[in-house]
This record gives sequence, C-alpha cells and structure tokens, in this order.
Amino acid sequence: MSIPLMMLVWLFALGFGYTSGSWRGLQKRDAWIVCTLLLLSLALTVGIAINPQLPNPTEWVEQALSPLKPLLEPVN
Amino acid sequence: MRHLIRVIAAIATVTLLTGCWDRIEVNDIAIILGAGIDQEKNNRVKLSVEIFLPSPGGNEAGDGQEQMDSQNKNGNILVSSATGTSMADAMSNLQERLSRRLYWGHNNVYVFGKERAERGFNDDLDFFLRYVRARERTNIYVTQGRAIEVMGVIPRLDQNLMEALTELSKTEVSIDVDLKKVMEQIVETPEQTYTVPYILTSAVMSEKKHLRNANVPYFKGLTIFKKGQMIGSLNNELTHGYFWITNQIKPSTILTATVAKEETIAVHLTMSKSKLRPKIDGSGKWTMDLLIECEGNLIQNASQLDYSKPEQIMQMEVLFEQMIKDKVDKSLNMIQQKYKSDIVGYSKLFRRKYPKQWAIAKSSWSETFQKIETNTEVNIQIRRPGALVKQINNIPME
Amino acid sequence: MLNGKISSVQLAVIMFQFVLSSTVLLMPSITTRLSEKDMWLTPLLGMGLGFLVVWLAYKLFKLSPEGSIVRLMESLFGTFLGKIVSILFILFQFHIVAISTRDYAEFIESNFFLETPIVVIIGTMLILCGWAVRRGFEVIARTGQIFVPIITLFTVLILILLIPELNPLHLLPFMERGAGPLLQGSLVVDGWFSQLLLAVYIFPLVRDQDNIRKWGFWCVIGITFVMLASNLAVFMLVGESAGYYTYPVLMAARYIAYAEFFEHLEAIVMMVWVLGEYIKISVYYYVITRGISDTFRLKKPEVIVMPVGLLLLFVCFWVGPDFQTVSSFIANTGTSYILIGFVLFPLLLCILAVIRGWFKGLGTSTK
Repeated sequence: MSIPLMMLVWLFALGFGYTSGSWRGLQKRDAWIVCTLLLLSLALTVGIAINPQLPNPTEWVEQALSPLKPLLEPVN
Repeated sequence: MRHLIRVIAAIATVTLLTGCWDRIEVNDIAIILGAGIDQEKNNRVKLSVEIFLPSPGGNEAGDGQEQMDSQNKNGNILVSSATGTSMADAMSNLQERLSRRLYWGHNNVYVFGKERAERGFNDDLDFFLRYVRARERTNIYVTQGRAIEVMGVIPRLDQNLMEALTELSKTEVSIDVDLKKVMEQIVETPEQTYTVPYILTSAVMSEKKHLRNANVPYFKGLTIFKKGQMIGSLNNELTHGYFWITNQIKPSTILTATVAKEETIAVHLTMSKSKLRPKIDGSGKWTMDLLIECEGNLIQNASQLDYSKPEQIMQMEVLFEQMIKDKVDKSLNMIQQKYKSDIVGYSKLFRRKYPKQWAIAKSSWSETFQKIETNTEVNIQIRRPGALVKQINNIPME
Repeated sequence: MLNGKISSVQLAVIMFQFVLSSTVLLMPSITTRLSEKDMWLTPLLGMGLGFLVVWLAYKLFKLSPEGSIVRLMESLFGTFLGKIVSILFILFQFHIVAISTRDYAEFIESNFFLETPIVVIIGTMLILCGWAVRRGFEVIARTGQIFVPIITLFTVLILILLIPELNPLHLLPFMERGAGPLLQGSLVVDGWFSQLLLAVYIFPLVRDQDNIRKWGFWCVIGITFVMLASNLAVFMLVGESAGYYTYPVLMAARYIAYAEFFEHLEAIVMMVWVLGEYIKISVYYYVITRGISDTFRLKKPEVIVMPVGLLLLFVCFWVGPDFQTVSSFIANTGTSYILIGFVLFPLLLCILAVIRGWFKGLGTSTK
C-alpha cells in the first residue's frame, strides 16, 4: 500500500472525525479509547510504511500452532 | 458548513463506483476470436491471434509478413502474432505490437500446431487456466500444420474461424473438448491421457488439388495425448469406433453396411447408447463388457434385401451389428496396442467398481490397460423404412 | 446504537448469510484437497458442530449477567483479568475478520479489478459497514432481510443453470480412502460453522428470546443445505480438479453458457459475494464495537466505530504480506485457530460458569 494512499485514508478519517458531531463533548473514558485506537492505527501505518513485511500475527499463530499442522495435511 | 462537507464527500465517493483504475473503453480493446499456438525454434512459442476490430471500414494494409488482413462484412479481422519464451511472454510481446488491449473474454478457440502438441503443451495450459481473463470453456483443437495458417482462414459459411470450429464441433463428426475437460482428465487419469479434436486447414486440402471449398476447416479425427504430449491420432473411421465405445455417437450419424459387392444399406441413427461394464473375475483377469444399443431408420437400400420381410430385416440388422463390432474392435486394437493410452475411460470405470484393485494397478496402468479384453455386443433395430416401401432395385423392369 | 431490537428470524437470516459468505466460495477447493471424492459430505458432518455452537452460544447467553458475555468474563475472572480476557478475545476477532476481509478483497482484486488498489476495495466496504454499524444492528438486520433472499436466489440460479453440465458419476467411488480424509475436510467446515458463536453478542438484542433455539436450528440446517448443494454442483462439474482451482464456484459460474445467451455469469458471483461479505463484515464490526463498548463501559459507543474501522483497515494489511500466506493459513492452521477461539474457549467459559454455579448453589444450600 503506497504512502500517498495511506495519507489519503488518514485525511478521510480525520476529516470525518472533525465534521462528525459526536466527537464533541466526549467523556474522558471514551476519549481515551478513541485515542488508543487511533494511536494503534498510526503505529500500524508507520510500521507498514517502513516495512511492508512486518512480522504479523498470522505468522505468530502459525508458529504457535505448528504442532497441530499434521492434522490437516492431505493424506496423500 | 459541516453538512456541506459531508454532502460533497458523499458525492465524491460516487466517483469510486466507476472503477476508474480498471476502465477500458470498447474501442480500446482488441477482441480475440481465436488463438493459435505454434512451436518455434529455440524452444520458443508463437502465439497468433485472430482479432476482431469492432469498427468497420477502411482496409488496413498489412505490414510485415506476420499480419494478414481481410475485410469481412461486420468489421475487420486481423491476424497478428508474436513469439516468446513462454505463452505469457509471447502474449506480452504481442501486446506490444497492438495499439489496443487484448481482450480474451470472447475467445472460444485455442488451436495448437502439431509440433507444439507433440512437444507437450502443459505449460501453455497452465497459462490459460491460471490467467484470470482467459475462460475455461474454450475449445481446444490440434491442427496438422501450423496454427497460424488456420488463423487466417475466413470461412465462407460462418463469420469467422471460431464460429466455424465451434459449429463443426457440434456435428456428429467430432466432439468438443474444452479446457475444463482436459484439466479433469489430467487430474483423474493415471497417465494424463485425453483426446483433442484434430483439424486440417484449407492449405493442406488444396495441396492435394481437391476441388473443395478452400476456406472451410475440416475434422481429421482425434489426437491422442499421453503424459502431456501428443503421441498419435485416430483417423475419422477409428474415431467413429472410439465414439461407439465412449457413448459419444450423436444422433443423425449415418451408418453404411455392405451386403455384397456393390450392394449397401444405409441407416440414419436416431438413438444410440453404449454401456461399459467392467469385470474382474476370480482369476484376476480384467475384462470389459461393451453393450451397444441403437435404433435407426433406413435411408437407402441399394441391395437385394427387402425391408418388408422380417427375416431380411434381421439379416440387415445382423450386418450392421457385425459392422459396428468390427469398427469397435479395430479402434480398440489401435488404442490399446499401438498407443497404449486409456482414452476410453476404462480407468474411471474400474476405479468406481473395484477401487482397491485399481489402486494397486494404478501405477502401471498402461500394462494393465493393454491386457483388458473387451467383449462387444451390439443390438441394432432398424425401425422405419423411410418413405419408400420397396427398394427401387426390386421394381421389376418390363 | 447498541439497543436496537430485532426478531429471532432476522438473527437467523443474518447468521445464515454470515457463515455462508466465505464458505461457498473457498470451501470446495480446500475440502477437495483434503477429502477428494467425499468432499460433498463434509458439510453434513460439520452440521453437528453447528448445532453445538448454537447451543453453546445460547447457554453462555443465559449464564451471562445482563446478557453480556463481557460481564460473564469479568465475573469469572475478576474485573481486571476479565477485561484482559475480553480484550484478547476482541483481538482474536480482529484477526479473524481481517483475514476474512483480506480474502474478500483479494478475490475481487485478482478476478475483476486487477489494477485498482486494494485499499479502495477494503476501504469502501469498511465505510459502508461502519455506517451500518453506527446506525445499529437493526439496520444490519433489515438490510440483511433484503439482501439474503437475493443472494440465495442467485446462488440457486447458478446451481440450477449448471445442472446440464453435471456428471454425478464423479462422486463414485464413495469413501475410497476411508473416513480419515472425510474427517479432515469436515474439520475445516467445522471451523466455518464455529463462527456462529458470535451470535452470543447479538442475543441481548433479540425481542422474542424463546424462539432463538428454534431459529438457530433452522439456520444451521439452511447453511448445511446450501453448502451441500454448492459442493455437489462444483464437484459434479469438475471432479477432482476442483482442488486445483482457487475459486471453483467462480469457475463454475464462468462455465455456464446456455444457448449462447446466458454466458459470462461471473458478474453474478461477484454481486452475491459483495452483498454477502457486507453482512459478514458488518456483523463482526458490530461485535467488536460492542465488545469494546462493554469492556470499557463507554457512554457513547458511536464514537469508536470510525477508529475501529480505521484500525481494521490497517490490520487487514498487516495480517499478511500477500495472498498466499492468508490462503494457506486458512487451509491449515487457521482452522485450528478458529476452533480454539470460537469453540474451546467459549466451552471453557461455559464449564467454568456452570461449575461456579454449582459452588454457589452448594454454598447457599449449606447455609
């Protein structure tokens, strides 16, 4: 995914947030969650921009569950 | 202000519906009506395509020996070709020569040159099956000469080559084999044995100084493939026998039997059914029972046998039964002994009925196949005499 | 946003489409590789797990205080640990839906829109689903009511148009290799059926809760039936070569050519797929939003819809660098992963809750 596209996505997202009436008058707790989610997205964006082959959860799960792999290999 | 931005954003998203990135205008595409694949030197492959240009008018002068051009009532047909180290490479080289994008969506025909078929076209099949723009329902043919010569044929009776071949496939002379069927056979038969219709181009016919219409493609029989390569072919007669075995005889086939010297009877088939029954008896011998039942109407009686007498009808039927049996035996002999390829589907039948024995014999199927004996039994009924009650030969001359 | 009311029929319809969306397209290829000629039977065996999961979801719903499974986790593990468990479960759901969405996008991208950037395909779908989620589950249920009959109708149409091309003899010999390969194939189908567990987040919204079990039963039957029909159609069409095509159902739809008129029907497959995926992604999206909202006791859940969507978009990219990782994951480890998350874990919760119930019962009776 290219960098201009990612910036476009962020622009869209933040633009929506700005124009959306529901983001005003947020309670502290809600605001915290929103900010955490946005920060996570930012972290991922930066991560993918720097390294498209970022270690991903699919890999981690594959490694963790590798003992179960033979169960589903074709019998051939 | 907020609402205005939202409205603008909503309208802006509608532009995404146009699929901007993938748009191709109709007059920017080159519709492929048939693709020919030939073997070139140095292990290269030549892809030739017959292109239909949707806008008619104006004869385009062909430049270079690789572009043949002719005008048809409904538009221009152009043949263009390019070589490459593989099909995909050839296609991209071909695209470089054309100002329009190649569009495979309407293609119905792949013609392989004989040399390419003998070398083996599994690589090309990989391209055609894997490329998402090429369809699986396209028919495959092998031509005796070079495919590019077939591409240039403009048939008199049909609009273009693709239609001519597809319509010809629907007649009783041949069958149509498409990519899906070939893929099925490759996966399911033990040595990738399958058949592909064999066609001739006009050039070959006119070389023999035949007086036929020079612009029609002919069927010459079926080619036999084994392990991805063409190993031989069956001529029209043997193909007919093959159809009897595999229940592919189409109605409106005409059968002729010889009663005596210069005396023949002809029957027009209305129904035919062949059943193959596999059998492995106690001693481990593999046999196949072939039961053929067919019905037909008499269409020509040039013999002394009289249809109005029941015992002579029996005689006629016996003649036909013997004829069919001979045809079947001849074809089987060729397929089993000379080519040793199971194109008649015996493997599948044995697998369904005797899976365990088949699993053992699978790895050396050629040998087992050679030894399978077929017991043929034919039963034909000649139902109607047509419009004439007695044959003309029997009308007394006075 | 989280308080709409739906009927149990609507829930059944939504869950029916939710499970079918990805299976009909991907399943024939994977199950043919594992079970070969017996792949058509796999949905029948998977049906058993479907019933188990529906029962499990209902039981968990009944055991949860205030009908929220998050509260159940908190009461079982303590407030802090319970929240952690809930967050982990939500992360698991993030992973699964990202893989699902990525799969959908790859299908559309590689077959139809070769040059469009994937972010457009995923982004537009997420915007649509986000909008539906923001308006509440009632919206999703009602759009589902409109779309699901259309989807089912067209799927059935394609299957019927294929009938002349089908060869039932492909199905023989039956059980050629015994039961082992069949069980492997049905494990994969089990994985898909297990997603029915997400209904536990939606049960609180159902008006007529007594009918849930009845409609849950019919939902599973319906899913099994459609899976069976499409598996049979695909296998009778192409035989064992189904294992070699990435999308056998698409290939089958492309193969239809009726009287030279009904041709090129793959556009129908795309339409059906997009509508179905919309429902699937909306349900997951709603479940995740509800999970986060319940865990953190948010006052205004609408606010997090957009951040969740944004995060989901990036997770879709993070989840695998290319199609092959995702695809081979689904075929093998993914099944175990999803079974652990949607069957074993909820089963554990259920057992713990029941045991705790006994202890409480013992406690009160000895008093």
